[in-house]
Amino acid sequence: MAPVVPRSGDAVFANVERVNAELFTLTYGAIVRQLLTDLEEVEEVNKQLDQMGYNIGVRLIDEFLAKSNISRCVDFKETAEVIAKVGFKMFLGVTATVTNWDVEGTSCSLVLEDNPLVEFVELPDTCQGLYYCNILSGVIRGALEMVSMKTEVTWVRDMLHGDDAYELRVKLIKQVPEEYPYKDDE
Amino acid sequence: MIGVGGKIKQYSSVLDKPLSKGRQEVSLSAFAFLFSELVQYNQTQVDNIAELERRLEDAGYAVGARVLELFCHREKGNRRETRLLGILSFVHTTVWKVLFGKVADSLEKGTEHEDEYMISEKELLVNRFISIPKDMGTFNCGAFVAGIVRGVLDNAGFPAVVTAHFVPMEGQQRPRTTILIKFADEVLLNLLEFNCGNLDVLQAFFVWLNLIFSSSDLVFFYNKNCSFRKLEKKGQIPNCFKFGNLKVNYMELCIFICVVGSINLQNDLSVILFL
Repeated sequence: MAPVVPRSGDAVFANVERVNAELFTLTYGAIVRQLLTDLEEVEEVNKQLDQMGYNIGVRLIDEFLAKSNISRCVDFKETAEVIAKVGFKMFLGVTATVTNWDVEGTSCSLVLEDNPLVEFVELPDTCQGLYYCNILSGVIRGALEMVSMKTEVTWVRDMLHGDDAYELRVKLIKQVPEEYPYKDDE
Repeated sequence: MIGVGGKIKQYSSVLDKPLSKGRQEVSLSAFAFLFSELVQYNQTQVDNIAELERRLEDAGYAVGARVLELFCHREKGNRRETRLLGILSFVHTTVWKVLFGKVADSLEKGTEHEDEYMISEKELLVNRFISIPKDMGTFNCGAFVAGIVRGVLDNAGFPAVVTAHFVPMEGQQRPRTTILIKFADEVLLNLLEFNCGNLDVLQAFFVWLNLIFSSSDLVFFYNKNCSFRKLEKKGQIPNCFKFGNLKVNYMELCIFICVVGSINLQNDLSVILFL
């Protein structure tokens, strides 16, 4: 069998089926609006979006690993690079930049230059506390949890709040040691 | 590496941002994941299937309303369809093509009812990765797409009830999805309304021309809300609105009305023309 070579984000993205980003954007907008109507509190909406993202992340990691042929990353730095260059590209068709590492190498920022979720979006005054793209942080958290990394993902900059980019802070809390899930006699 | 360190241009308002060309894409799975979350979330909010479908449809409606504005502006040079068949083919062709990457498989008129139309799709994009549990009966996630269609039609002035149904197909494992459009009575009565703000003056003018040239049993009036209404006798739907690249401004339109039509100015600023 030929060795499995990790594929670049562009290569994967070029080979997967794609849909119009506007359908995606508008559908996401419809979800956020529905949540705002149902839950009323902006804080609750942030929580729910994060939860939805988490649910997606938990499932998305399988597809990610299957299609990208990426094997175990040596350290968290590599993980972050892979998320930014392959993960984002493969699903959203955009790439992120990894910057602002702390000295321990356990937390970094993912800066998004382009974000298909926010096309057409402007936050009204009543929703200033809303992290519109909170679903993304949930996805990253969920996906990393499935590869034994507990992380905390927070928004640092958000263009919808007048910042100049989208910046997600990803902080590695702990690496859960992998356990062999079954007993030998089962 | 392109783009690293490059600053993204900031706009003070989303309206200042140039409209995208709509070529950007995301992966189908990203959409499928998102859609599945939409369905799952709504499942937690309802007790029955009808309610769930209604909520999905509402979400779709919001998409449809925006899709109409966006596509009319981008694809049709700010022209909006004012005829029933025109708007139907707009949904079937333009909307489908941009949203789902292909024209819908078919657009048919209902055989039993005059006011029913059907758009069928062998494998609706949103149903692609969805299988319905047995206990959920006739539930169809296409309700979301039905909502999009209703959003487009309603905002274009053709209110309708739109539903999604599975139709089993012979020799096929999976049923196709049919979006059933049942227009409201007012549409059936051929009452068409032409918004006459800034954009649609030209269109209204075309309709007007059409009235003069094609039939005589028509009433055409202009009311305070700046909208043109046309009442037609059934079966006399004008068959052509094509006038090439003719451009007419509001003044010219008024002059034209003065010259050709008989004008009856009333106190409430209504102009009623009987032709």
